[in-house]
Amino acid sequence: MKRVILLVIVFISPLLIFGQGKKFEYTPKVKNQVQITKLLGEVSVKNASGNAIVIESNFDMERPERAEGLKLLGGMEDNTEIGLNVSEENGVVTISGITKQVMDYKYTISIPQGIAVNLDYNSPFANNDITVDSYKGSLEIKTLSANVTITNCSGPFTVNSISGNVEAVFSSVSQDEPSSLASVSGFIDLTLPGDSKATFDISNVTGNVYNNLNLVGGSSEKGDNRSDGLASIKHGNGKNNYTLNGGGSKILLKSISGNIYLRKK
Amino acid sequence: MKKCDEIRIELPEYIDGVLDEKTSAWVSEHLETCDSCKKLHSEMSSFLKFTGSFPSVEPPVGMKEEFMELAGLNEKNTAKKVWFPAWLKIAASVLIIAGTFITGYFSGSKNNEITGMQAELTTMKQEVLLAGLSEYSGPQKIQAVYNIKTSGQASETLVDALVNTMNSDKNVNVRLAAINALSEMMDKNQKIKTELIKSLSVQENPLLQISLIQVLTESGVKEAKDEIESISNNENTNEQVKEYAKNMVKTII
Repeated sequence: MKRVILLVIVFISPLLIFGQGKKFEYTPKVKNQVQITKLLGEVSVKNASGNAIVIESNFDMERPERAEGLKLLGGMEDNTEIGLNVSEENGVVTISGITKQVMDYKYTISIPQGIAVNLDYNSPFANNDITVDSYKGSLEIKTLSANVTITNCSGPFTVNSISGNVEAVFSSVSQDEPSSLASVSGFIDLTLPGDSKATFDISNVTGNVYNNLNLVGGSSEKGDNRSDGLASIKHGNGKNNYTLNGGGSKILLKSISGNIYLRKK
Repeated sequence: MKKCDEIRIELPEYIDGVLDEKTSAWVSEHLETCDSCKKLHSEMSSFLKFTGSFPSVEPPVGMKEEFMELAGLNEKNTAKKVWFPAWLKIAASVLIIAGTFITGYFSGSKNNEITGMQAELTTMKQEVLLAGLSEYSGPQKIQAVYNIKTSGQASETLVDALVNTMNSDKNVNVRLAAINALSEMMDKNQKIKTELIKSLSVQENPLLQISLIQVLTESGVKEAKDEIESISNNENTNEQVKEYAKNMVKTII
């Protein structure tokens, strides 16, 4: 019996230590903008409760023994012990991966609310997905093939992807500034409360648009007798303007070959 | 001509609506008859409206503490560098412009002096516009682009600012908004068409290339044919863009 317990301790304890991950905290001097670049692993962004940016990661890169006493050439200094360089200049906090190996690890970044976040994931080495949950503040996200999932946010956001899918669930629609979601071949799936006020600018080339919102066409075309009681679907210009509940904040949705889905929450 | 000078002095106040009734009536009466004053009036008001449309920027939360801290440090170490955030820079340039404006209109009664001031004002306008569009967040910049579009103005400065945004902004969504705005203003300024065609060879993002081809072919811009053909024949072009360009170029007759 003792042996079993001993074995369990020997095998489980290292797992616990590694599983906990590491943490880095940085309190920005000015709460203005955070720029995240060259971070190629799985990234999730959420709201921090305090004034500090908190980054948690399972980063565990081993330096080769031969590298003892040597520095990474051309790389930035790892001032966080989790493979990142964090610096602040002119009111912009930059969080940057120092080596391509960061793509093997997961990063959870908590940012104080109200800071504008700019996440540049536009790298062929970025092979994971981006999730943003409950972030209050403006978001700018750019990816190549990574999917972007945004939940429980109010915007405004700009998301751009080449082949990644964009999925966003608005808790409410920020009326301050417009949002824009665009992808070349990925789909765009947007969910928002049925009573939100918004003005949509929807455009795609070969994909379809599916929706269950009470959208009203922007153009006031007169119907004929036959069209009584039928909503008109405008196809001219490849562009469609619609309002929801009388219109409000602008939301631009564009996909070339992917479908666009609009859902009521 | 003398009268025009007097009118021009009153214009900024006239736009702000702070003139007394009598003077205001006198100015609007003159504007109806004098084309050059009318032009200046519309230019000036669109500019003032545009700068006024920038989202008002709250000083960042930590700002005060930061300044206090720096002031404290400055006593010990004067070499410490003080930086100014973007909103302050813009506020400062707006102040400088306002200053130039007032000085120009009150000290210079001679025509050539006014012309000089106006030229200076134009270059400064541009700087503010460009600075304004480059130092804000993506959604704020899109808002500024929409504001230009809805103002209905297509003056040279505004078009230049939009073209610059379309070709060089870091955010693809902002560029897309600029392309949309420009395409809707196409019939107001001949230059826009040329700039949209030129932009075809500047853009590298497939989404923007397709958007440009889309707006140009849908508006039937014949001059774009060669450029679109060269995109569809370029080896490096994204497959989807190539396919789209090939199909759409057929619609240009």
